[in-house]
Amino acid sequence: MPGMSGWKQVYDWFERRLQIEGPVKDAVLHKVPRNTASWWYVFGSAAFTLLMLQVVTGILLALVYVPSAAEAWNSLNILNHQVPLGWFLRAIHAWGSNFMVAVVFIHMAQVFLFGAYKFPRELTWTVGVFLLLMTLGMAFTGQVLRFDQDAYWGLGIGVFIMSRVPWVGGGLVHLLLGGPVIAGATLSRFFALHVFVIPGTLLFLAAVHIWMVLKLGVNEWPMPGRLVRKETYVEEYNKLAHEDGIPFVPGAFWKDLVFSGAVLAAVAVCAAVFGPSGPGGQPDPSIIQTVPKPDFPFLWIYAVLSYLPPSMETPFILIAPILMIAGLLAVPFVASEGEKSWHRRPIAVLALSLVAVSWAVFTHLAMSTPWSPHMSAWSGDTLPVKYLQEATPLVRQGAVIFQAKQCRNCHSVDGRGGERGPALDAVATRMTPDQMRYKVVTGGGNMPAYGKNLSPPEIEALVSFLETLHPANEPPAFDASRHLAETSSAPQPVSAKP
Amino acid sequence: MNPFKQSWDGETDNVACWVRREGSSQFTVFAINCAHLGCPVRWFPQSQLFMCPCHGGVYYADGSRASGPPERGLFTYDYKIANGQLQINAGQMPSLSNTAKLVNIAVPAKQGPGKDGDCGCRG
Repeated sequence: MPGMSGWKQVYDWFERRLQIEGPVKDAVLHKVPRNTASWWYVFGSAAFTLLMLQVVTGILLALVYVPSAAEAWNSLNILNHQVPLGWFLRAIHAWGSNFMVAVVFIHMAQVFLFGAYKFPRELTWTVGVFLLLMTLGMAFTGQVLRFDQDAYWGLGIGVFIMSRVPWVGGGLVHLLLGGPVIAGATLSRFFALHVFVIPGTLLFLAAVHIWMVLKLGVNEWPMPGRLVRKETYVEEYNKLAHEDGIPFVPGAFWKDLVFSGAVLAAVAVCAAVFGPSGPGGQPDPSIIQTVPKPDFPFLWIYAVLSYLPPSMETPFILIAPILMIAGLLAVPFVASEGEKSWHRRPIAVLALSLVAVSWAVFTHLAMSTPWSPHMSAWSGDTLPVKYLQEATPLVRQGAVIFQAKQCRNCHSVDGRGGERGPALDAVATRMTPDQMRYKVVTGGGNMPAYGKNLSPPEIEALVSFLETLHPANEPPAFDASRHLAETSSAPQPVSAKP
Repeated sequence: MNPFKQSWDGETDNVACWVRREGSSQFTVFAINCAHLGCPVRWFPQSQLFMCPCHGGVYYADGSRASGPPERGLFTYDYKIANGQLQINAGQMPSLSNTAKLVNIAVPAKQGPGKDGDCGCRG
């Protein structure tokens, strides 16, 4: 064992050749404005820590995972059930991914709110936008590598989205799948993307991003009235950093360390408590008893696609992503100077709030999917007794038709059943029997026409049942004109004689 | 045979479709994929409807659009009867940018699922 002087000799030998001590000292000890040592400035480093976690856990997973369409699903099950702590490794990787997407978004929102993208940090923001896209790319390709039913049908949805691109849609689909169908070649190319292409780009861009943060300095705490001007900003910043600055390490860095540690602990706790993500059912397209759903970061897209009118869908799918990315890239160039403080940027605050609330609402909706029919409601959900007590045979027959013809898959009764169509507990107060007959026969809106699928006696029985669906204290709707015609003593119209 | 087929395709090699028998040798073969975003549609013989579990697209028994977000009816595969077998051209995933055709896969027509059966076809 070499003594202290021996180690020093080894160190000096390397340092003489690498000459890295100077740049590292510069980076570590460079002065940053005192008020940047804030708990608000910890998200970027946490995102990088999570990236490192994903790299390490990803490498460990790759030791067992078999990137073959025939074997991937099995190898994940072996990881879950046979490899010691394999489930925990998978869980850490999955939760690390969720946390990374969340922290990257929070980091971006904080940078936007603090005006940190303004001169001279425009390029830092631009690279950050690409880092966000790469992070989302990792989340999507990672979901595909899970290669279960959700992955298979998620790819199918990708195919259908790609296929809407005019002229080159077919080519894009082929590029995505590596063939005419989702198969072995598809998984291989997603493996290459997830393990080589995107992480390589991500690490390179992250290095560039961090380099710029070190070179340009951490964004000072925004003060209302302290405007950014290209002519004077650098001088003002340097003055601030030197007159009221602290060394980056340890002054500001300890908070980064503490927060990153807390995030890693949170990932571990989530992984231990909630476990790994899938794999779900095997990726066999002939098993169709499945309701595919995207992973958390993409749930909002799932919701948006279900609420758009069909005619708007293709334009939205083709144009919205371009507009969103262009909008994000344009931010630092549209507003590279001026006010940084959120106190004086109401539009920025409103825009961010709008995006956050919309995202939360759409994500929440996508978790309950009120637009999806409940595929087993017709056979699984019982009708409450109160609807059948003292019912005539015709009404009971109608109730059976209501269940057997899958009406319940879209219409709930007593809070159970699909939510795609309106709940029918009080339908008789809203529609007269004639209106119900017409709606059942012709459909319309989001309802298929049952005219060809139900016989007239079946329709009669069904409407008889629906007529009973009203609260006890609320009478069913009736056709006022018919009622009038039947009871009125007024003279009936007679045809005029010539 | 499928020129793209590989031994490591595993279960993804399967192709699901709905076969509707219209006459002794008349069939309509529907792709399993909803014309909206490709989720697998399910057949409900009681109401004679195909329903999609994702965004609620519904189709009539003849594959035409009944309601929901799809812009068109179900995709169909070409087929032919050869030596008593129903052969289906199902080697390409249907989408809005192609007409869903390519490769032969065979199911014995005599043991066919009859009207509106599920064919778990293998490429």
